[in-house]
Formats: sequence, C-alpha cells, structure tokens
Amino acid sequence: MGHHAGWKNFPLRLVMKQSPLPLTVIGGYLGAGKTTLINRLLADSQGERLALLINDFGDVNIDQSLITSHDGDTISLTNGCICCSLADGFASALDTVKENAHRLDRVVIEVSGVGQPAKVALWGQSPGFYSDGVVVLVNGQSIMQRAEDPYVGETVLAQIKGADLLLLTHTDLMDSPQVEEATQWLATKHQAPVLESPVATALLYGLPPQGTDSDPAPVDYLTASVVLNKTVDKSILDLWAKTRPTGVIRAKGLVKISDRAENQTDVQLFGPNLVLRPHPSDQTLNTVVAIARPGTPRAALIKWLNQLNPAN
Amino acid sequence: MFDTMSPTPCHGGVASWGGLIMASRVTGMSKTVIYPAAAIYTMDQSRPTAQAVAVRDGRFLAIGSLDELSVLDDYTVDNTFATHTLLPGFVEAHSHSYAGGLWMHTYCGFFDQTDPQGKTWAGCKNIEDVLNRLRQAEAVLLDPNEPLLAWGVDPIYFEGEHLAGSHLDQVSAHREILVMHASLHIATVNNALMTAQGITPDTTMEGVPKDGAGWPIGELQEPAAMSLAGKPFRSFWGRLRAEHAIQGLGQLANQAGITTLTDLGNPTSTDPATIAQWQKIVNDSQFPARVSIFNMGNPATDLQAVTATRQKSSDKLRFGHVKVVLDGSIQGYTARLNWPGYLNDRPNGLWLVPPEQVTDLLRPFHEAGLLIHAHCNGDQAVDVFLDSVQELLTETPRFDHRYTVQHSQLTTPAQYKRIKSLGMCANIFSNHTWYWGDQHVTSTVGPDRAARMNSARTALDLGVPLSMHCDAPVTPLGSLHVAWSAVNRVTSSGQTLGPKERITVYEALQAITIGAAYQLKMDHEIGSIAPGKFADLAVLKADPFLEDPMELRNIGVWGTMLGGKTFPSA
Repeated sequence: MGHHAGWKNFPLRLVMKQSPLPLTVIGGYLGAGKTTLINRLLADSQGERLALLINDFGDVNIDQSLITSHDGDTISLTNGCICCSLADGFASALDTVKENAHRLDRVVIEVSGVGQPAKVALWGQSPGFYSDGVVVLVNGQSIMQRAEDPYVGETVLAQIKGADLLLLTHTDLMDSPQVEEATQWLATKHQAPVLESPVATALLYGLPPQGTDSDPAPVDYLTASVVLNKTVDKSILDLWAKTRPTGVIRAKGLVKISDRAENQTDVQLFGPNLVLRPHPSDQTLNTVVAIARPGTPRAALIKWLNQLNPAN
Repeated sequence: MFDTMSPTPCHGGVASWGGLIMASRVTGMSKTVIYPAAAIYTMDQSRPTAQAVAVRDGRFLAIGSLDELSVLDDYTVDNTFATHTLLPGFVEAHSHSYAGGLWMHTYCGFFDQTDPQGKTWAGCKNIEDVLNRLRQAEAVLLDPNEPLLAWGVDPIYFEGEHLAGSHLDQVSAHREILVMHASLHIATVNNALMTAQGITPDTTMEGVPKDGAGWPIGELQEPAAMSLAGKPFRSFWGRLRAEHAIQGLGQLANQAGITTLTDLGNPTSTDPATIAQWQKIVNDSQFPARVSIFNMGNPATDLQAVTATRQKSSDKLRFGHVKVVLDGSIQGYTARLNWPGYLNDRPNGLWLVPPEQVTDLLRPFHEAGLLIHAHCNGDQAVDVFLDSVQELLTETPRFDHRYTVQHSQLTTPAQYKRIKSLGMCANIFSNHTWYWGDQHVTSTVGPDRAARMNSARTALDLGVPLSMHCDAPVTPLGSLHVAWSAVNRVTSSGQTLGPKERITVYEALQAITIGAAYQLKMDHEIGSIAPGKFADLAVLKADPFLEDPMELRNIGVWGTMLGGKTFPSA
C-alpha cells in the first residue's frame, strides 16, 4: 500500500473483454461553467478516449483540424474522442457509443442547465455502462442568490443534492471569505465533497491527478489502497462508508461481499453515498482504493481503509 | 352581430333545390360546383349563414342564397351535402404527427377511441379488459417473433389495481409484450420480454421495481429503464415516424372534420428526408388535410435551416414556424406553477429551458420575423414567456407577430390582460376539463384553481385571440369534443368546473376554425367560408346550433371537403 500504489494498475475495466464503460455525468445550472469544463476535457483528454454526449455542438470549441469525421450526430477526433449529439435522446446517443465501445475508455454526459444530473446518471446503469459519478458545477458567485430564486431555486438545489462531487466555479472572481462562505453554504445543503475549480480532470473521473503541464492539478492529492484478504460483510462496508475521513473525495474497488452470489461487487463511494453493484468479473481483485484532498492525514486514510480488513 | 348568440340558419330543405337545378345553365365543361346544404355557418360576419357554396379551382367562388348563386355561369349542382350542415373545415392548432402512428400499436386506453380506419375501440375499464384486448391482438400476430406493442393504458382509472408483468404473462408466455402507459413515462413488459432483453434480478437500474424475491415485476419507469426493453422499445417509437403513421393522422383528421392539422414540435423538420417524406404524403391529392409543421430544434443553430424550409411550403404543407417548450404537464406534476404550486406542497415542476435563457433563445427567430409558439402549461411558465416577449418587443418592435401561449391552462386574468396588451394569442387545452378535471380538483391544484383552468371566457372577454386544441395524442383528435369541453366544462364524473368560464357554441366553433387559423397565420386562406378562401369544409350530420350543447361532441361527421375535393370519412 502506498502513494498511488495499486491505483495505476487498478484493472477495473480490464477484468473482462467486454467490460462496461464508466459513465460520468456533468451538470449544473446555466452559467456554472459546464461548457468551459467540457472544452477542457476535450482539449486535454489525458489519454482517455472519451465519448462526450452534448446537447449542442455549437457550444463546444472543436479544432477543425482535429476532426476525422462528422456524420451529423457524431464527430470523431484525432485524439480518439468522439462527440455525440443528444438531439435524438440518450438512448440513441448511447447506442452510438456502444457501437464504438471497443475504442473508447469513458463516457461523459453534459446535462442541460435545467436538467437533473442524478436522473441522467440512471443511464449509467444501462447494460454496457457503469455509473462513475455525478459532478455538479456550482457558480460560487451566484449560487446562494440563485437558490432563493422563485423560478429556479428548487431546480438548482435538486441538482446540488444529486451530486457525488461539487465543483465550485468562478472562484477566481471571489475573495477567500466569499469562497469559504459558499463552501460552508453548500455543506449545509449536501454532503458531497466540494472542490474548487479548476481541478485536475482525473479527479472528476475518480482517478489520481497526474499533474501534467496542461492540467492545473496540484499533485499532492492523497491516494491509498487496501487489498482485502477475505470476503467482507455488508455491515462492515456500511460502517466504513459512514466513517470516512472528511478529506475523502472518492473511493472505489472490487470486493467479494459475504453472502452475495456474485464473485465481485463493484464498490463506489461518492461522498457519503455507498453504491454496490454486481460486477461481471471472473477474476478476483479484492482491492479498494481511495483518493483524498491535500492535507488529509495519511494515517487516518490508511486506518480507515484497513477497517475493511478486520482482524480475525 | 351574433358574437355570442347562435345565428339563424337558413333551412331551405332539399325540396327547394329542384328549382336551382332547373335554372342552372350548363354549357359544356363546367368547373363551378354549387353545393347546397341544410345549413351553412361561415364564421364570417359579413355573411354568417348561407344556403349554398359555389366552388371552383379548389376555392370558394361564392357564398349565398340559391337565387344569388343561380346567376353564376356554367355550374353544376352537387347535392351531396343537401341534408348536412357545413362549417369551415376545423383547424387543429396543436396536434402531433405521432397521434396517427400510435394506432400501429394496440389501443388499451380507458376511454372509447376511434382508429384511423374508423373502428371504435371500447375503453379498457380494468386490467381484465386490457388483457382481453391484448389476447385478441396476440391471436392475429402471425410471426411468433414479432413483439406485441400496446399503448394508452392508464392505471390512474383502475382504482388501485396495478398492471404488472405477471398479468401480461397470462396473454403470452413466449411473445414479447410491451404496454406503454398513457403518460409515456412508464411501460409494463412481460416475462418473455424480460428474458429476451436480459432484465433479470441482476438488473440494478433504478426504475425497475422488484418483488420480495428480487424479481423485476415488469414495470419500467422513465426512459432509461424503458430502454432496457431493447428492440421492442425502439420499435414502439420507430414505427410512429413511418409513412402510414402520417397517413393515419390524415384519416383521423378526416373523421373529425379537421382540414388543417399541425405537427406542433417536429425536431427534424429541417432535415431533407423529413421534408421529402411530408411533401410526398401531404402534397398528394389523396391526403385529406393541410399540415403546418412547427420546428422544435436547437434554436442557436437552426434559424437559417428553419427559414430555408419556408421555400418548401405549398398550399397544403407549411414549414417555417417555431415552437419552444417551457415546462411539463399539470397531470404529470411537471408544469411550472406559481405559488402555492401543487396541492400539499408537492414539488414544483420542471423547466425544459432555463427561464433566463428564453429571451436569448427566441431572439434570432423574433428578429427574423418568424411565428413563435410556446408550450406553457403552468402559470409560472406563462410569466416567463410573457416577460421574454415583452423584452423582445421592446428591443425590436414587431407588428402582427401572433406569439401564442400554447396550452395556457392556468393563465390568470392578469396574465390574459398582458397577453392582450402584448398582442399575443392563447391556444387553450380545453379537453383537460373532461379528461383530468376531476384529478385537478382532488390531486393537482384543488377546486379553486381547477375552476380557473382553461378559462376561455376570460380570454375572450379580454379580447385575446383564442383557439382551443386537443394536443393529440394526449387527448383524441376531435375538434367538436374540444369545443364541447369549452362550452360545458364538464368533468368525467359530471361536475361542472368554473361554469362562468363556459363559452357559447358559436364562440367555441369560431375558436376551432378562424381562431386557430389566425394563430397559424392562415386566416386569409382558411378558417371561414368566404369567397377566395380554400374550399375546406367540415361536413356535419346535424346542426350544432340546434342540438343540445351537451350533444355537441356526439354530432356525426360525414367527412370533409379539402380544396374542393370531397373526403367522405370511412
């Protein structure tokens, strides 16, 4: 166990030939900065071959020289990414993704400004995919006022409450007491971790940031992993999820749960939410990895992960 | 003036037509045809009633008494309508093309409904009715691999009974069955389908409820879960776009006396293949209706494309208008309501576009002079639309824009005053009173606001240009039913909602003819019986002004005339 140990080699998608594609949902109200983020994901895909499902091609800056084909609803790029229009709905766009699944690593869906990202994330439970997190962007300057708006207040709050990770944007236009105030306010609305934008794109996918030149990530995010030496009880997982150290942003893994039929269960901890799903794996991985904010005590993180390996 | 009272019809009687025929001067090839009728209501104040219409080259040549028409040269008399009542062909200003396509699937709805072939299907009043209907449909499917697809089932009327997959297993253990609910948000599927499509106890998706033993019960809630039904689910929607779906729509219109339809909200109306399909079908002389297609696409990119489609318009087919959808539906609790919202603090509805984006979204279309209609079921959505239109008109004044509030179900008197002062129109969903009025009283908004819903009287009294619609297939295509609903405001259980909001038969018939034509910018061509207009007629088997207003919806429709060509309904 150690810094990045286990994570880089974490073969969640290599376990089976037809492994499901992770599907990340990006939402947030008008003006939260979704388009800026999507453009960044596209410009610097970090080696991930993305299928980006977006509402309007017109909003996205696609360098014409990078386009290898454009058939109306789908644009293919030289970096291996594809953009699919959501004009015909999610089912149709995901069909297109499935046809190209063998040459893709991840699906990212951009939800419309009034859409509910948590509902859209249900599509991540379709065969061939797994839900890999809901990121909701929040405009730090306007959110508290927006939440009181008689027209869109509850729309915005519902978006926030559906998030696994909250990304506070426009913080460059705010002073630190304002950032602190917005962060505190968010904490009263929803338990999900709050990160200040911009963050390393890898973090949005629950991966450790690599800190490349183009990626504005601080490199001192903390990662740790634990290999389970036997099956784990569901009750222990539940307790583990409830006792996460405050800095934990995300944890995931494949484990064998006692009394469950499947060989491996996909464990996803988004903020406070533990999601367990059968994983179609014929191998045994029995590993859980976690990622935490800079400054999180390493010992606390390891101690917490070790709860999954109770002494005999 | 007979603004609000019934006109006095000219009931000449068949016997008197002999004189006209004798007096006719037939000199060789005659293109003018005179159609005498038992009664004719023109919806044109200059000549509100007539004894006959003369038709030439697809248009009304003359309207008047027999004596007046007898001076025309070269006419023949056609007595087809001698015992019938003629009105301008009805104009349905809010319908959807897939209303015809749904009939390619088996109907399981609660209310009696007539299919495009003219067969009336009895409503399914309980689950056993649904299963019997499905058994009959299953028995005639020859290919064992063809899924059985059905629509319209509405468990809200089944008093607690829950339609589950195990019910459908009684219809077939082998054939895949998918029953789409009336809301289009839920489907029930059988075990054969779940087995074929891989819906198992391992299916972890939300919206796939399971029984105590962990087996899916066969209910698929919302599109993500419904898409698990795989090919049958895709077939359900795919077939709605087929050519004979549009043909079915035309037949439904013909049965209802409708000569002009709308496809209000077509997301592919700028697509050359879509345009070509509609042109092929509608421009054919056998297709019995005109159609106005409103584009519903991505506004930021579509202005040029939408404007270009106007070149593809014809006498029968119109392109180039725009629809936007602001909120959801009241019965689905997704419409946006002003305070106090839904009963008992149920969460408010959904925006389909961010309210502060509406003005920007409409601006290019506004500046290009296009006709824009906006779906606003809830009163809060109406506020947003009115604010946007006011802002746009202040920026770039426009004459004769005919911005229309579609559905306009909870619009307040104050909002109608704004609609009037902004020069806008309202197209009211009056059928709601009958189909969901009771639910609105007990469940959605309560008796006070239910009494205010679809308030046509207020709109008319304030001088708002009015139309009324059925939103087919949400309610069946049928203008007389729409008019009946506004005239009587009776719910399915028999209560009268907001009786002061009732309007007269004449006002209601105006709304479904010239009123609707105005909102489609076609009132110079259709919507009334007047010289020069297209010869479009609704041919009724009884006189709506002589019948009890409660019988308005039961008046038989002989068929229509479209552009001078008669279309008797099956």
